[in-house]
Formats: sequence, structure tokens, C-alpha cells
Amino acid sequence: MASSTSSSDFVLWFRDVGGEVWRPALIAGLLVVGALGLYRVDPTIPPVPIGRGFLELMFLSTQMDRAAELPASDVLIVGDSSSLMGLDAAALSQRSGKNVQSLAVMAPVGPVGYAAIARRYLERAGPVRRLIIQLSPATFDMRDAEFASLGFEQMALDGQITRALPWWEGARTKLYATMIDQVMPLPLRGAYGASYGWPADVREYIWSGHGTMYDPTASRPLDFRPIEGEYTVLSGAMARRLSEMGQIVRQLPVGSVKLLITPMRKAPFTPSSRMIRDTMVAEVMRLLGLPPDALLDLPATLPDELFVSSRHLNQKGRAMLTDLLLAQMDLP
Amino acid sequence: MSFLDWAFPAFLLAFAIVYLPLRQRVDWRNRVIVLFSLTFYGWWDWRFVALLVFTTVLDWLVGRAVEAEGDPVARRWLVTASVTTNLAVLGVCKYFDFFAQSFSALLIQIGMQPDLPTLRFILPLGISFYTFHSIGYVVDIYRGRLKAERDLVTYAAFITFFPQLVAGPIVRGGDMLPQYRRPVTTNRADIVEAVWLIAYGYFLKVAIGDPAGFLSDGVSFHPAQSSGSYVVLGAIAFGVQIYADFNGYSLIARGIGLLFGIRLIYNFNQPYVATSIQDFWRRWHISLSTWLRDYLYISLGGNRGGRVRTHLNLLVTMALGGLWHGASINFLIWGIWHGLALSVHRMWRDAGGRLEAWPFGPMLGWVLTLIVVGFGWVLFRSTDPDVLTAMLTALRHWDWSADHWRYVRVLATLIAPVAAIEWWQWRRQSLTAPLNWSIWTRGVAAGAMAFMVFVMLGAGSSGFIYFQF
Repeated sequence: MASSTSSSDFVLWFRDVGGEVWRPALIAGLLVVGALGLYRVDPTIPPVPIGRGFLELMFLSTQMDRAAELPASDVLIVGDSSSLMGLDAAALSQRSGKNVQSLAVMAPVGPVGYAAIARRYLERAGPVRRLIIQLSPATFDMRDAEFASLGFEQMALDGQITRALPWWEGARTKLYATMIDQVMPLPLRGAYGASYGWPADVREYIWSGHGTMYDPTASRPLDFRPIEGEYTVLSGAMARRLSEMGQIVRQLPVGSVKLLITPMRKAPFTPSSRMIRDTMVAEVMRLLGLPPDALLDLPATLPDELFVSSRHLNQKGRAMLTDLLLAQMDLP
Repeated sequence: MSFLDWAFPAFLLAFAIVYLPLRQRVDWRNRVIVLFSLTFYGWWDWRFVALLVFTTVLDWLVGRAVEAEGDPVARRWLVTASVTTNLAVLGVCKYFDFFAQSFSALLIQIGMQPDLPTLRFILPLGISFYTFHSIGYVVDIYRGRLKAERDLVTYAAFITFFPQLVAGPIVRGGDMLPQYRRPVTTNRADIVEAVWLIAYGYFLKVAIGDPAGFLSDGVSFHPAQSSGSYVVLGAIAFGVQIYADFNGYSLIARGIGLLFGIRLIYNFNQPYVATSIQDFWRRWHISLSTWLRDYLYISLGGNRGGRVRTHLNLLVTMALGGLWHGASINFLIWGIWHGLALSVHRMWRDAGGRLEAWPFGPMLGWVLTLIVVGFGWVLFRSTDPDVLTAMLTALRHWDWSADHWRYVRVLATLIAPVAAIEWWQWRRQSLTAPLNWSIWTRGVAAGAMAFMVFVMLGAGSSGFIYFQF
């Protein structure tokens, strides 16, 4: 087709491009509409390794499934990811002779979310002799927006994984989960892929680990923010949630409740850090409605080399914290 | 900016709106190309636009000076100065820290305690590519194969044209400058090819390359790897990843060029059907391999200095070609590995060896080539010495489990559609064979590919691999 120098040349170009593009666009569009229809019919999406926060979603869904299926236990642990990845519940079980199970998740689920998961489990499986709440001081300054951002807290409260996604995100995630993941299950990326492999392997590990796992990421340069930065603020959002958690926990069928404050890294701990920490922990105890003897006597800090990040212990640190907790597992 | 940025479609539309009415007016069209290309480049980091402009202007001036200069010695000096400057810029930005750290390590080995400075430069995007464009241009003028471009804007359009600027293909003045000197035309056939290439290119990158990367990056290539099976599978997965990623990029670049009347070359020609390592390098990253042949291997003497010198030239060329990919020892080793393979192949041919004459010779050649290339990918991908050590050590331990089968299943699913298309191309001996499908077959295929891109983008796309080179 000959080109001219007039604006009709411009129009001809768009016509030619449009003429070639409309068929693929139509096919793709029909497929997108089909995917959207599939999503509208059934918006529940199994956790698949795509989208923002899918790793955390996988942890949460696994623990929620366990809460719905686990038989009765002696000790139940709930808390944030410093608990999920900082303890070895299977080792605690084996060495204490008690059935220790963890339903720990991650911080954005929030204290009320932890309590909701625990309640769902206990109402079905029966009472436990001890409930251990494990919290990291690094979560004390979380804000409402952080709990809302990925919707994990609401999922824990609702008892189901329903993500409020934009329609295109929901459609493709649904399609991925129902078709792609069945045919071509992709492994996790990076360190999780190297250590665990596939999402199913992570779930299996959590199950066999009595609800705990290890953080596989290599030690990253640890931020050297002074420890006071992590202690000085107990946010209003966190305080409200701790208070509400306390109210829920008081209704739960548990023999006793203990609080485990995850040790922090030693290096940034300054002389005033201890005082600030103790003040903060006392406030947390008050909000949870716990007596002073509910606080497990564990060190406030551990050496830096036991950490993989500011919040998570590495495997060596995990083993050490497990040993320390074992020494406190004095159940009647 | 990259082809995967959300802003890119808007950028492309803006370019089309401004460019198309002007495409018959050479001077204005080239100005638009340069303006948009610098914007495309500066989107990543505006600070490096100045470097791109500097090297562009410098080599344009040198090109004109070389052509005007009658004295052969002065001409040689001008070319040497240009090449040296270009390589110095590339060397400082890309290799200074590598050599400083390597030298430091060497000094430590002999008991010294060096304190050599490092520059910690951010590597300017595309520098390895546009530097080679410029060097090729100046050398071609020197060799009398090209007339210097008189107009700076035309030359700048040749260097900076955004589809090829950051990850190639490495373009030649002889191929491209005539296109920038005349009004462009696009016809329906060009548009058909362009749309197909863009659809297929994105499909390769997002739906094939990135998922293959999940396998190689996640499961295979890490310092704790202890399974020889995962090393082999990882080599295949990375081979799929890098081919899909880079060929995908190159096809998108060619497609975009065609939309606007500029023809870039095909950078890959079914490299995994190669039946010899020499054949592989005629099919893989064609613009780089031919550049290395024409401007490095031949400049070193090629095969004109006797047998030993020829092999040495081959090794040096491939070693430097490996190093071009990155300032890391593994790339150098990879280049040497391929240099050795090419050398051995040459010796075999010189001794009268002809695999193609054997029963199942081509098949055997194909398998051997894949093994050599696959091992090379292990070297190429292992940018961390701990990973390389782990991968090589793991080859002593072989196991197989349900996880390996799962890996194979994913890999096979990724390879299948690409193999189908490439088989069709191979049967028809034409990379454009899919263009002969009926309009609806092509439309359905492209639509399905576009849909797969939509779905797989949710899995998260990593950047194009060759952006880091």
C-alpha cells in the first residue's frame, strides 16, 4: 500500500494497525471476560504464589486450615512472624512430652486476628492447658493502615481467605489458581524457593513443624536503628487491638496464659533500652489483662549473629529460643 | 523505561501521534526519534542522558574527522582515540570495581593488605550496547565501508532509537543509517509482522521466561544446592529463561521498529536447533556474535595468522565477549568455555571431522551442542562464586524425587508452546512462518498470548536480563 505525505497516511496507519490488532484484542478480551465471569461466580481464591503478599497469605491460610483441622493439644502458641519463624514447636513437643501447636501468623493479622484464629480452634478442638502469646516489640508501633493494607486481619476475623481485589487482579488470580497452577505449579522465588521449593512444600513443612517454620532468607545487613526506635511507641492502633485481644482471651478455654516477648538484637540495645522495654512490656501486659507472673522470663536480647533480620531469628537463633522456652514449659 | 513499564503503552501512543504525521519529513522525524528516545532513556535515570549525548556527539565528530582526514596515520589515531574513549567509559562504569576487587584479592593472596578504591558506579543502562554501536560506526568509516553521517540528528537517531537503545540488537551504520536518511514507509505486511512479533515477544518474556526464572532462580541456583539433578534441570530452565527473555525483548524491539518503518534485525534464529557450537553462535545473539567477529576477531587477525594464532584469537574474542556481559569472573569463564568449544570444533573440522556424515550425526551434534551450551548456562547464571561452587560440586550427587518430576512438568509446559512455534518455523525454514497462517489463526494465537501475558503479569515480572549488561 503506497504511503502519502498527507494526514490520511496517519489515518491509514491506524487503520492498518487496528485491522491487525482487533482480532487478537477480541480473543484476549473474550478470555478476560470469561475469567472475570469465573471470578464473579466464585470469588474465593486459593492461595497461589502470585500477587502482593502471597507468601504471607499462604502462611495465614495454612494456619487457618490447621485451626479448622487440628485435634486437641496441650499448649497453643499464637503471635506474629517472630513466633512463626522463631520457634520450633515440633521440637518443643518432642522434648517436653506435651503436644505443642502453633497458630502464629504474621504481624498484619494483628492481636485480634491471632485471638480469632485461636478461638476458632479452641471452640472446635477443646481447651488447652496453656496459651502462649508471642509478640515482637518491633510490631508495637503498627498503625491501622498496616493492618488494613492487605486485609489479613479481616480474613482472620472472617475465618476465610477472601481478598478484596480489583476486578482484573481477581480475575487473573482466580484463573491462575484454577488453571495455571494446576498445570504448571510454579515454585516460590528466591530463598523460599531454594529452601522450601513449592508452596505445597511450605504448607507441609508448617504442618509437620506443628505450625512453625524457619526464615530461609540469608542474613541481610541488619538495620542499626537504635532499639529505642522500636520501643518508644505503642501505637493507639496496637493498644486497642491488644485490649480487645485481652477480652477475647479471657473468654477462651485455656488453663493459663503466658506472654513471650521476642528477644531483640543485642547490638542496638543502649543503656536506656532496658527501661523503655520494661515499661512497654508492662503496658502490653496491662492491656492484655495479664498478671505480672504471666510474662515468661526470657532475655530481652540475643546476639546479633542469631538474627537473619531485625525481627526474625535464623535457624541457630530459633533453636536457642526454643531451648529457652522449653525451660519455661513447666506445666502441671 | 522498559517495555514492561505501565507507562510504556502511553509513551508508545504519544510517540505514534507525534511521529506518524512527520514520518515523511526526514529531519523532523529524526528529531522526534531522538527526543522520545532520550526521554525513554532518561525515564530510568536522567543523569545518564548526558553521557549518552556526549558519546553520541563525540563519535559523530570523530566519524566526520576520520572521513575527512587523508593521512592514514592520523586516521588511525582518530579511530584509536574514539575506540579508546568509548571503551574507557565502558570500562570505568562497568569494570573498574571488578578489576580493583580482583586485583585486591590477588594481592591478599600474596600476603599484602591493599586498600584499593572502588567507585561503586551505577551501570548506565544500555552502555554496553550503544558503545558498540558507536565503535562499529567509526571503524566502518575507517575501513571505507561507510560514509560518515553529516547530520548529527540523523546519527543520533541511529544511536538512540529507543527500541534498540538499552538491550540491542547491536545495530550497524550500514544497515540503519540509510533508513534514517529517507522517508519511511510501512505497509500492511510490516504491520502484520510487527503485531505478531510484539505479541509473541511479550508472551516469551512474561509467560515463558519469567516462570522459567522461578525454577532456575528459586530452586536451582543457590549456594546450598546439593542435587546434581537440579543443576541439570536448572541449566535447562535458565536456558529457557534467557532465550525467552532476550529473544522476547529483541522481537518486541523489531516489532516496534517495524510499526514505525524502521527495520531492526532478527537477533536470534532458533539457536537451540544448532547442530554444532559454531552453528549455535550463528543463531544466538546474532548482532553481538557478528559484531565480535567483524570488529574484534578480524581486528586481532582472524584466521590469517596461522593455526595457533587463529585459536588464540578465537579464545580472546569469546573471553572478551563473555566479559562484555558483566564484570564478574563467571562471565569470563563462560566466554572461555565457548571459546574452547569453538576451538575444539574448528580443530575437528580442520582434521576432516564431519559429524553430519555419520549415522544420526546431526542428532548427535545437536545433543552435544545442547550439552556444551547447557553447561555454559550453569557458568553464566552462577554470578556468585558460592553458587558456582555449589552447582559444580552438586554434579557429583544425583537424586530424583517427586519434586524433580514437578520441576520437569513445569519446564515441559513452558517449553511446549515455544517448541511448537519454533518447530513450525524450522519446518518452513522461516522465522516469519506464522505470518502465513490464516488471519484468524494468527489472531487467535496472538490473542491467547496476550491473555497469557495478562494472567502471568500477576505473578510478577522481573526486569529483562540483558538490561544488566
